[in-house]
Amino acid sequence: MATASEESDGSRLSAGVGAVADWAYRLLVYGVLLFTVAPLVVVVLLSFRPNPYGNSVFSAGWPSTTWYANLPDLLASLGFASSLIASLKIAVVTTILSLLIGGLAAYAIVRKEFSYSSLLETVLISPLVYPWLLMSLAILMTASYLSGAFDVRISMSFSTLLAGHVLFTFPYPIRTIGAGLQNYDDELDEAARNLGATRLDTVWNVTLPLLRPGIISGAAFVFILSFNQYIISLFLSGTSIQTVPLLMFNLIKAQSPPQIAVLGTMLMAGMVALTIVVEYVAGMSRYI
Amino acid sequence: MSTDSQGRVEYADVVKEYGDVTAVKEASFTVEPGEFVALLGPSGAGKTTLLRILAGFEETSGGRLTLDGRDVDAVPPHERNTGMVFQSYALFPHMTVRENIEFGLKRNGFDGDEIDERVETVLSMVDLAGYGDRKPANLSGGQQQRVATARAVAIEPRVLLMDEPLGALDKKLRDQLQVELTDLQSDLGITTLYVTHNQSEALTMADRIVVMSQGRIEQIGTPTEIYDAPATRFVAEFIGDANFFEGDLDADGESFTTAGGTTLDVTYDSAPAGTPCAFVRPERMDLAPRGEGDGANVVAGTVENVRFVGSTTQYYVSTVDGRLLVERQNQRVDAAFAEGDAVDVTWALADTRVVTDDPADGA
Amino acid sequence: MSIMSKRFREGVSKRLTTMLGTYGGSRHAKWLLLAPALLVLVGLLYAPTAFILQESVRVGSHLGLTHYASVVVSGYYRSVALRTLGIGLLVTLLTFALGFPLAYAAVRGGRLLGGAIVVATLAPLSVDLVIRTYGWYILLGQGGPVPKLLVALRVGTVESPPQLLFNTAGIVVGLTHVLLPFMVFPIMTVLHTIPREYEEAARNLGANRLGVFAHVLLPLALPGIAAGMLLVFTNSIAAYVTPAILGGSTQTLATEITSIFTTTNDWGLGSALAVLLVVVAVCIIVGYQRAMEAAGGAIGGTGGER
Ligand SMILES: Nc1ncnc2c1ncn2[C@@H]1O[C@H](COP(=O)(O)OP(=O)(O)OP(=O)(O)O)[C@@H](O)[C@H]1O
Ligand SMILES: [Mg+2]
Repeated sequence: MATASEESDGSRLSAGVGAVADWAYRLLVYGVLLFTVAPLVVVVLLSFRPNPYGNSVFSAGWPSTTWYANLPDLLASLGFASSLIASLKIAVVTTILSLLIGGLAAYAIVRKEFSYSSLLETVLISPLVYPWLLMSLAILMTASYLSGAFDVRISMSFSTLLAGHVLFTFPYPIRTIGAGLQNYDDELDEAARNLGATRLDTVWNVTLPLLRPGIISGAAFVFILSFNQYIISLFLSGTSIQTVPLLMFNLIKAQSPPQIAVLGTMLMAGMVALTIVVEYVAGMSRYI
Repeated sequence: MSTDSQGRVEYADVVKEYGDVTAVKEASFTVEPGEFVALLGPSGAGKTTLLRILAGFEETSGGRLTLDGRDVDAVPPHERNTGMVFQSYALFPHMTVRENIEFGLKRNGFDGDEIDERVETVLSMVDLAGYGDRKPANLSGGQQQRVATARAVAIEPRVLLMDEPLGALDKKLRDQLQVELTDLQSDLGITTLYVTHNQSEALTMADRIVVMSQGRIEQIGTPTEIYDAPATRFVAEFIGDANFFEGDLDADGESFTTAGGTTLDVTYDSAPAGTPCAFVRPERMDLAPRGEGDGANVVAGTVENVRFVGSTTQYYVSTVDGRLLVERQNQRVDAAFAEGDAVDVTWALADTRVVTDDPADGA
Repeated sequence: MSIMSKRFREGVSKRLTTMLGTYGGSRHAKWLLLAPALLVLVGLLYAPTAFILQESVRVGSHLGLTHYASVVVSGYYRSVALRTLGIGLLVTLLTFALGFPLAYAAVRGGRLLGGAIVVATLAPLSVDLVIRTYGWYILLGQGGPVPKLLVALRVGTVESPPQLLFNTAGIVVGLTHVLLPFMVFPIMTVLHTIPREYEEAARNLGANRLGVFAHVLLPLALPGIAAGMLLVFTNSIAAYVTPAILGGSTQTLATEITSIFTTTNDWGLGSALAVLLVVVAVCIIVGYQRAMEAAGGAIGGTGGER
C-alpha cells in the first residue's frame, strides 16, 4: 500500500511538472508566432496612422485613411508605377527563364545517369547558398573588366540585371521540380504510351500536369525572390532601372516612414495573398 | 464488344539482356487468339520483361516477336495496341475515372458519342457504373484494379497484358477478382497474357501456363498437364506440394531404387536425361496401419506430426526415405492416425512420376 | 490546344518525336539538358568568382598578398569579420531555439495550429526585406513597443531604455526574423518522417519530455537541423539589407564590402574581404549537400529515396 501511494504522489508531481512544461511550451510557440507576424502587423497599423512621425502607433485619430486617400499623388511623386513595371518585368522574365533552365537540369539529374552525379548536384544548386552580394559583385567586376580589356561595352542594364536574377533563382526550380520527378511513378508514362499517346502527348498531358505542384512552387519562389531582390539589383541594374526594393530602400534611407508603411502594406497584401494561394494550391512550404 | 483483331502473339527465341544479366533466355511460345496464358515463376524469372517487350517498353536483344504475324520491333509503344494493366495500376491521379478511360479511347480512333458509350459500357462491365466522376485516390484497391482493367480493355487491344494485377489485394478480394477477370476475358474473347507468381492463380485462371525460372521457360502446358505431369523437378516443386525420392532408375526401366534402399514401381515415357528423381503428390498418398498397407508402392514409417487443415489433415511421416507429407480428406468414416502411430504410406503406380532437373527434356 | 487543328498537332508531334528519337537517345543528349544551367553557372558564377580571387591577389601588375595583409593587420577589419561571424552564430542558435518548437508544434499539433504556423512562417518570406526590416525599425526604435515592454519588465530604465536599434542587437533580432523560415521548414520536413510511435515508445520506456527530445527527436532530426543551420548561417553572414538598415553605423562584412565597392572603389581590398565570404560559402555548400543527402532526398531534401 505504501509503495502504491508513493507512486501516485510521484506521478501527481510529475504530472504537475508536465502541465507546467506544457504551458511553457505553448507560450513559447505562440510567442514565436507573434514574433514572426509582429513586424508585418506593425507596418499595416502604421499605414493607418494620421500623424506620420512620432513613435506611438496608436496616436490620436487612429485609424485614419489619409495616406490611402492621397495614394495616387504619392505613387506619382515617387514614380512608383515605373518601378513596379520594372520589377514585374524582371520577375516575370526571370521566372520563365529559371523554370526552363532549372526544369531541364532537374530532368537531367533525376532521369539520366551521370558519373559523379552527387558532385554535379552540388554544383548545380550551389547558388542557393552562395552569397547574393558576391554574385552581383563578381558579375559587376567581370563586366567592367571585360569592358576595359576588350572594346565591348557591357553596361549595367536590363540584361545584366536579368543575368544576376537568373543566376540566383534557377536552383529553386531544380529543387522543386526535381523533388516531383524523384517521386514520379514512371509507369504512369508507360501507361500513357500503352494507351496510344506519343512521347510529346505523354509529357504534355500526363507528366507535366503531375509535376504541377513543383512547377508552380518553383515559379512562385523565383517570382517572389526576384521581385524582392535588393542587393543584386543594386549592383546590376545600372542607373536607368529602379526596382521596387531599390525604391523602398531609398525611401527608408531618406526617412519617409508613412510612404513606406502605405506602399509596404499594399505590396505585402499582394505577396502574402500570392503565397497563401500557392501554398494552398501547390504546398510550396514543402520545398524550402 | 468482341474485337475483329486476331491477337496472335508469337515469341520466337526471344532474348533480353541487361548488360551482363540475361533476363530472358531464348523464349519461344505462342498465344493463340482469345487464349488466356499465364506466365508463372518466382521473382526475377523474367515474366515482367516478357510483357514489357511485347508492350514496347523494352527492346529485344535477339529473336523475333510478332503480333498477328507482324514483327513488332519497329512499332513504337503507342501504336502496338496492347492493353496493359500494371501491378501499381498506374491510374492517372489527376484525372477522374472517366477521363482515365477516355484517355485511351481518344487516342485509338474512337469518336464523341462512341467514347461516352464505351466508357459506360466498360464501367458497368467491371461493376463500377456511376463511379466515372471519382478520382482514383477516392477508390478502394479493388475498385482501382477494376478501373485499370476497364481502361485497358476499353481500347479493344489486340492483346491484354496483365502484370500481377491482383498482387496488391488481400486474399478474399483476389479470389473474387480472379473469377471476375476470367469471366470478363472469356466474354470479350480477348487474348490475354497474365503474369503471376501465385501458382493457384495461374492454375485456376489460365488456359495454358508458361512456367519460367531464371529467364528460362521450364514448361508450357495446360494447368492439369503442369500439375500432373511436370516436366522438371523445378516445376513439380514450384506448383503444389510434392514428396521427392532421390535415387536411380533401375536397368529394367520399371523400378526406381531410392537412396534409402526402397524399390518403387514407376512409369515413364522415355528414359529422361539428367539426374532423375521420383515424386508423388501428398493427396495421392494414403495411410494404413503398419502391415496392412497395399498398393503398388508401400513405405513403412512413423507419424511424426499431425496438422488439421479443415477439409484435409496433413500427416508428416518419417521413413527411411526421409519425411513424407501425406494429405488425407477428412471424412467422418475414416480412421484418424495420431502422432507416434506405426503406419504404411501407400500410393498407386500411376501416381509415381519421374522427373529430372534438366529443363531441355521437358520443354 | 483546341485552337490548333488536330492535323497540325499530329504533324508537330511526329516531327518532335523523331527529333527526340534522334537526339534524345544519344549519350551526350543528357549534357544538352544541363547545358543552359552549366552555362549560367560557369559564365556568371564560377568565372566571375575566379576573377574576384585573381583581383584579391593582384597588386598593380603582379601578384601579392598585400590586400589580405591589410585586412589581417587592420584591427577594424578583424573586428568587422569577428562581429559578422558572431552574429552568424548567434542568429543560427536563436533561429534553432525558436524554430524547433515551432516546427514541432506545426507537425504534431492540430491541423489549425499547423496551418497557422505554416502560413505565419511562410508569409513573411514573401514580403520585401525592406518592409520587414522597417517593421523592426519601428518596433525596436526609441519609444517603440519593444523597449517599452522591456522597461516594464525592469530591463533597463525609463531614463536609459535598452538600445536595440543601430547596433548588433538590432541586426541579430532582424536576421533572426528573416531567417527563421529557413530553419523551420527543413526541420518540419524531417519531423514529418519521424513516426509519432517513436516518441510514444520512448515515453513508454520511461523517458521524460527532455529525454525524448535529446535521445529521439534530436538525433533523428539532425539532418534537417544541420541543413537549416547551414542555410541560416550562410545567409546571415552574407546578409546586406537588414544590417544596413538596423545596424546603423555598425558594419558587417557585407555592408563593409558594399561600401568599399560603392564609395572607395578599392577592388583589391573589397575582393580580399569577399574571398573570406566565398571560402565560408564553399564550405557550407559542401556541408549543405551532405546534410540534404542524409535527410533523404538527392536534391533539396524533399521527397523519398528512389
Ligand atoms: N531495367 C533493368 N536493368 C537491369 N536488370 C533488369 C532490369 N529489369 C529487369 N532486370 C533483371 O531481369 C531479371 C528479370 O526481371 P523481371 O522483372 O522480368 O522478373 P519478374 O519475373 O517479373 O520478377 P517479379 O516476380 O519479381 O516481378 C531480373 O534478374 C532483374 O534483376
Ligand atoms: Mg515482375
